[in-house]
Order: sequence, then structure tokens, then C-alpha cells
Amino acid sequence: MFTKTKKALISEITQVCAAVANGDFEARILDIPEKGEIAELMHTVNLLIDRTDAYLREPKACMDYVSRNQHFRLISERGMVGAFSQAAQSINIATIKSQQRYESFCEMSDNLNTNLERIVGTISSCIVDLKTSSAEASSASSQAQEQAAVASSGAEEASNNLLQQPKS
Amino acid sequence: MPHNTSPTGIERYFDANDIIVSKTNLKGHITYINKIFMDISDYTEMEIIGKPHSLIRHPDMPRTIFKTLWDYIQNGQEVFAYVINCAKNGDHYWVYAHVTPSLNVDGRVIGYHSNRRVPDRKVLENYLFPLYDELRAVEQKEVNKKNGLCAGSELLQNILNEANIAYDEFIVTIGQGKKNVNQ
Repeated sequence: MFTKTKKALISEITQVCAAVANGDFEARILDIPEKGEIAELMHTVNLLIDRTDAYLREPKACMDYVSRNQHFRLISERGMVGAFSQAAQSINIATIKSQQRYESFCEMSDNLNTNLERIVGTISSCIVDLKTSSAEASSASSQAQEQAAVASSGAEEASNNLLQQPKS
Repeated sequence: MPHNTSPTGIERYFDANDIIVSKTNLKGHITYINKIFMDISDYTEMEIIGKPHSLIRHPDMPRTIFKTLWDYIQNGQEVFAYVINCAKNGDHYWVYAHVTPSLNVDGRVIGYHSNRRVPDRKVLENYLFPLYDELRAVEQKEVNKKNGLCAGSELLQNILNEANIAYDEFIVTIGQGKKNVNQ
């Protein structure tokens, strides 16, 4: 590594920066000279990538959990500096609020379930009552029919009797 | 830790805003370390690139935790762990490690990334030290290393089951007053 010219070192920095600018956060400068201004620049470029890469991995994981309705996975704000820290805080607040909404939604849905069960129970017992009343009504109606038939046959008999009275 | 070094018992610390970063390939061989890693461990880039990550492993670290860690990342998931690492001379430093698989553009795992932050001291002292002591004791009771690892994993699983929590939730909520082990 001591044989590398300044030009070669700067070209390495350029290549890594270009890769990261294209979204390749795997790129890092390796084989950094032990001292010197360029070594310092190389370490600082790596630090820039490291902080951004470390940050990028956090909300992704956090949101993956949230999409599975798990809200415990907050971003650990330690080691997050400046704007990274602010962004992490926003995501954490959103995650906690989403948890609260999810929990109140679950509670609402539980209540709705209980209420629905109660309503279904009431309706079922109404249906049973209705069935009984309808059976009663139906037996009353068949009794009435029988009675009507009896009455009608009585009437018929009476009218026959009247018709058959001998003329005198 | 290099084979010819033993722990000194001296602890090293790093700044709360610093992050120690390393990357490995799929075999766990180091492909990158950052400047903060070099500073705290005393290793140069030349000394460590291509070496297995176990080089910085401290003997006090329960093997059960490494197994748990490995299980998660091999499954493509992230994982957190409190880890004691070893500097080149045998000094140690505690970290809160976030290990994630690195994916290529096709979404295939091509290596692992570890980002380490300063751990919360209270969490270490109140929860992790007692837990690791327990795990280590169980692991070391077995003569056979493999049996020790099995016993450790069983103990960890029992502790988690009893608290009705999975490792991923346990480790990120520990000491936050939510439901977790030891509470």
C-alpha cells in the first residue's frame, strides 16, 4: 500500500463515492495508508458511509416489524447524530402512535365482537320465542278450523233437518 | 482474541456518538473495519482483514448468545446483542451490536454488517451481567462443548418462555419497563 500514488488514492476515493451515490452502500475504501491527509480523508469518507448505512438499516427493520403489527422495535437513538437522530425520533414517535392506534383498534374490534355476540344472542332467543308463538298460533288456528268444521257440519245437519221436515 | 493473549480485565470505552463498524463475508471473515474499530481494538486494517470475526471474541461471552445471533442472521433477519469484545492486548469493551445481513441488488445475502453502539450501563449491570453469568455457568458445567451449548440454549429458551417473549423483543426492550425477563 505504500507504493500507491496520490493519484491512485484519490481515484479510489472517487470510485467509492460514486458507488455510494448510486445507492451501493456496500462500497468502502480499504487499504488506507497509516497516516497523512489522504488517509484522514479516506477514513472520513468511510465514516460518512458508515453512519448513513447504519441509519438506513434501522428504519427498514423497524417498519418491517410494524407491517407485522409488532411495535416494540424502535430505533435505538444512541449513536445517531444530528439529522439522523431527528429522523430516528420521528420514526419512533410514528411507531409508538401506530401501536396506540393498533391497540385501540383491537380494543374496538373486541368490543364490537362482544356487542355483536350479545345482539346475535338476543336475536336467537327472539327467534325461539317467535317459533313458539307461531306454533301456538298454528295449533290455535287448527283448533279453530276444527271447531269451524264442527260448526259447519252442525249447520248442515240443521239445514238438512229443516229441509227434510215432512209437509203436513 | 489472539491465541497467545489472555484477558487483562481492563475495560475500554468509546464515545456515545461513535459507532464501531465491521463487515464480514458469509463465512464470517472480516472484510471491513472502520477507524473507530481500529482505535478501540488496536488492530490495523492489515492485521484483521480476512481473519475470522472470532478474533475479537472474549472468553466471557456465552456461546449461546452467538448461536442465537447466528440463527437470526442466517434466517435473513437482523439481530441485536450485548457483546463483550477483546482488544489486541486482551483489554475488553462492551458493545450493543446490531447485526444485519447485507443484500445485493437482487436481494441475496452477500455478507453481514455489524454496527456497535455504546451499551446502556444500567441494562448491562442489572440484566445482562446476571443473565450471561447464568448462561456461562450452565455452558461450562458440561465437559463437552456441544452439550454446554445445548444446555445454554435450553436455559435461555426457558427464561424467554417463562416471560412469554421472543429474543428479538426481549433484547430491544430490556430495561425499558415493558414486559421482559427478570421483571
